[in-house]
Amino acid sequence: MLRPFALVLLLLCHAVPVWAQSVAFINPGRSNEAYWVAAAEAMAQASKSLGMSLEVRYAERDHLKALDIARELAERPQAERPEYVVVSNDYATGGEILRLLNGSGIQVLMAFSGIHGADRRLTGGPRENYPFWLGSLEPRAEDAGYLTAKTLIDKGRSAGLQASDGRLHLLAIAGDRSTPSSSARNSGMQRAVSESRDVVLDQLVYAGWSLEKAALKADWLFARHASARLVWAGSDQMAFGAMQAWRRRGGTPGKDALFSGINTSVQAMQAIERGELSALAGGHFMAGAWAMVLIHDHAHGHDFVDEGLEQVVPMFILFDDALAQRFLQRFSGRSAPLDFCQYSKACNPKLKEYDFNFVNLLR
Amino acid sequence: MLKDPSRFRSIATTLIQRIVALAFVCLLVMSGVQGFLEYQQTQQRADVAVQDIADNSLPMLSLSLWDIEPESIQRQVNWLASLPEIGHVRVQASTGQWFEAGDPERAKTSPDRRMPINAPQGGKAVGELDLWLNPGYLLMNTLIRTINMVAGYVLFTAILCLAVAWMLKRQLQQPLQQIARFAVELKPQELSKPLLLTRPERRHVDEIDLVTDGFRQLQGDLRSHIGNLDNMVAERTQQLEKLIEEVHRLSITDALTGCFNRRVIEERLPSEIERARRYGRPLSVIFTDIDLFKQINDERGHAAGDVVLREVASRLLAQLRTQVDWVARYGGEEFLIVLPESDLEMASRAAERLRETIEGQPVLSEGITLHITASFGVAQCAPDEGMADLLSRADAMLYHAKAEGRNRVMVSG
Repeated sequence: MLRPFALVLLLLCHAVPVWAQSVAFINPGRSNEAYWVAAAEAMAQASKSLGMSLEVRYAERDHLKALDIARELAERPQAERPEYVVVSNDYATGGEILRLLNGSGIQVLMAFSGIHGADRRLTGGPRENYPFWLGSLEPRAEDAGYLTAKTLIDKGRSAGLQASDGRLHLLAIAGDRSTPSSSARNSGMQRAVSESRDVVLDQLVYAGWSLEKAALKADWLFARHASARLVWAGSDQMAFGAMQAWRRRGGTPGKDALFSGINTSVQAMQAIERGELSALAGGHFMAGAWAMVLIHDHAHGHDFVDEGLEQVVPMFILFDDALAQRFLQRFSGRSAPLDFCQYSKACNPKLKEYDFNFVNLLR
Repeated sequence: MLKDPSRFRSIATTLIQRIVALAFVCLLVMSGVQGFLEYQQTQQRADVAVQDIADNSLPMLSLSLWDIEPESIQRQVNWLASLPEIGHVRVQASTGQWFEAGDPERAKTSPDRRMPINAPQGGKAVGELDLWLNPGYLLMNTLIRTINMVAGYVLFTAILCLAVAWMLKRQLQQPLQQIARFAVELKPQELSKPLLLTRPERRHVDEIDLVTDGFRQLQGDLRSHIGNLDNMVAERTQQLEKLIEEVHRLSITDALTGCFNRRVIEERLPSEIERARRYGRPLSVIFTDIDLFKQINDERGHAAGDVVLREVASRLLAQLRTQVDWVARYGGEEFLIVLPESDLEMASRAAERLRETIEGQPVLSEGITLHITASFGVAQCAPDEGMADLLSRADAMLYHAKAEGRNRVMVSG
């Protein structure tokens, strides 16, 4: 009699983790790509903090592989299937992934980038054609461009880098012409320029997120626009490229020319600390971690439907020297686990609106 | 047909040789002119094409330079250099970078075209486009076009020559050869044979038809000419025969008396004797001599003698059977009378009759009446007797009659 009881007890004990939701993340990036690794680590932190299980699968920037992963997840035996999948609509794979997961009982939350424009003809919005598609959570990319450009201009102005015409000349090195987040960053930058009457955007070029291309184009740009002293870049790598070109011309980044970038890489943080980068914005890598909070709350009966199914969240912050140091401590070292419970409605029943402020985590 | 067949060359061959020679000269002149014009045209076209190319590629180059897309710039430079009209391309960015493609040898000279590349939104230049033309393209293009023209012209000439050869063979050579063969094989006795040519149906009359008609005309004229000649020959022959007859008559006639001369005796008498002997018919001869003729001649003159001789001969002939009997002047005042089909008696009678005729009437000469007589010796040809013997016997009888007193007939008995 004791043995069946013990068995039931064992089963009960085993049944407890059912509350700890299982989540899979189809990571579109490479397993050695700083940004996407950081994003996955942040999600892991969140899942740990919220008592969830997370499985990260890298598609290695191969959209066919992303589809393979989705198919494999759907074909798993019922017990091994994750309850939630976090997907990014990179390379417009979102629609196909939804189709593959249809009927598997897996629920989908899109993070980093959602489905927009023509792609929605087949998928519809969240919870329409595919009711298991819960919603999407995207960083407000325009913020990144605006924040960095604004800071860059301010610092340039106070450093007295105006040209002989009394105006600040700015060069912009953007990522690519097609990615929505790329053009959102550009428009943020342009908004900041248009707000400052003493700033001229000499030229905007596209360097395809590449350090080498950015270095080459910056080389031309510096020759073409001799009075430009501010360089805005759509990413940290491109900013490093432009700085290389400036150094080749005998300049010192952060002194006779100011540079700005976007991202939260270790090198970028270190460049901020050294003063070579004058402005850096980041935090969008946290979109996955914030998605974990939404899933946690959804599983605990707190649907985010009342805040909107497709959330565009301001999650970029400007890093100054102090923030950069703290970020490096928090995210690179073996520091105490981050507390994501403070953002959860399930943990804090009094919380009415989500506030995904990254700075709070760094305190 | 020809003395030296190796010298034969058909009109068609000559004509085609002339055409080919003329065509060749024209070809040289034309290809020269064409080549010159073509070169100029090609140059103009190339100029326009290069301008178009430059105009079309400037906006793209401007964008690529402005956006700093070196790969794109190099691609466009490569594309420009790959155009046949372009020899070498260089894009010089105003920021110092430069891109080039093509034949670097060309770039040693100054560029054929230099154009500023302005920034897309206008304003200052972002670079410069230098173009070097490809002179080989001009030459090649000109050469190809000229070769095309020459090939077309040669083909045209060849077709023309073939057509001319075929036409000449059909229209000229074959009929002319038929005419030549016809002329060679034409014989005087076959003048009426018509000239028939195997020629295709034509609506018009040409030179060959004129020649054929001329031939027919010539044949007709020749035929009538030959006919005339025949008639003339017949006429002349007749005249000649008459003349010969006259000559013969003169040759056997004694001019004074109109009797046969002595040569006829030697020609005809043997055959008369032969015939008489063969048919067993009688033949007699009479020798007669005018009595005392020398006296008449001496006393009355030769003219009177001649009148006597003519009168005697005339009387002899009048008394004899025409067609059968004949008289020849034997010499001087002596005549021989040959009487075929007459025996000795008949001959004697004839001689007597002749003697009476001569004696019976005097001869009038210049108003003088002359009484003349004649002596006769008669002999019949004996079997196996020759002419000489017969004449000798008759002559002996004449001699005998003279001796007996003249004006008498003595018969060889």
